[in-house]
Amino acid sequence: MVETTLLVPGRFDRLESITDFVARAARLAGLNESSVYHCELAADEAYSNIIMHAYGGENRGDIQLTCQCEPGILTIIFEDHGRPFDSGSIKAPDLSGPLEELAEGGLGVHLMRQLMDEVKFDPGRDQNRVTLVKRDHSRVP
Amino acid sequence: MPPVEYYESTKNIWVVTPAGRMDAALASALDDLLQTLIQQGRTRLVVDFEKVSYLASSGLKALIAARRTTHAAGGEIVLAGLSPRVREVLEITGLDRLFRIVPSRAEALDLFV
Repeated sequence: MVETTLLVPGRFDRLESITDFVARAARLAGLNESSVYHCELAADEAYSNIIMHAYGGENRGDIQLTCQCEPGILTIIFEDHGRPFDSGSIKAPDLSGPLEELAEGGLGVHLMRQLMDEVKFDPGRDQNRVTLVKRDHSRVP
Repeated sequence: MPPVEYYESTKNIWVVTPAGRMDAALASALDDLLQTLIQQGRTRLVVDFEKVSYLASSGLKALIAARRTTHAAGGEIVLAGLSPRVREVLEITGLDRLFRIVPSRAEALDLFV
């Protein structure tokens, strides 16, 4: 397994470097380009959620990103020291209801869950952790 | 160059042309522009995604907000020029049901009569 780590300040202008880092790791794990894109998007959502909800804004703390690459599997781990925030408790938007009443909240978490094979939120007093896993199903079950 | 440009086409239709990666930063600029146009009564809108390579949920939220306010004002917002990857995000979230989506800017303009 190859593991790479990046520590960045929680700022939206770092989003592209975050997604580039994830894309390189996803290719190293041998994922196809569609899956690489899914990993980029899910990482974008996780990182943005930390800035907005755990830190409550930009420049309020660092975010550590770790990518673990195995053949056909990428595991992405975000860790922050913001307030405990359980993104997993956010309800997915109700797409069966009237479109005009659709709430925008929960779209990011909903998107992460649709794009990745596993999405896990571990809020904690000292540290929050978000773990995302993407598998190449042609190589691993 | 501003991250989101716009111009008036014919028939009081306003075409908005974001470019690049539609993450939180660009989505904020798009949201600001769309809401400003709508407040000015410019509610016949086309968002041309031809130069957008990437769409995160922050961009979706800007589009939902713009759709809500344009429809409340009797207008319409049409999306054009989406790449397969950008369109996939709309489909995954089910938001493709919320918008009129056409292949090109020219076809979007033809929808307004």
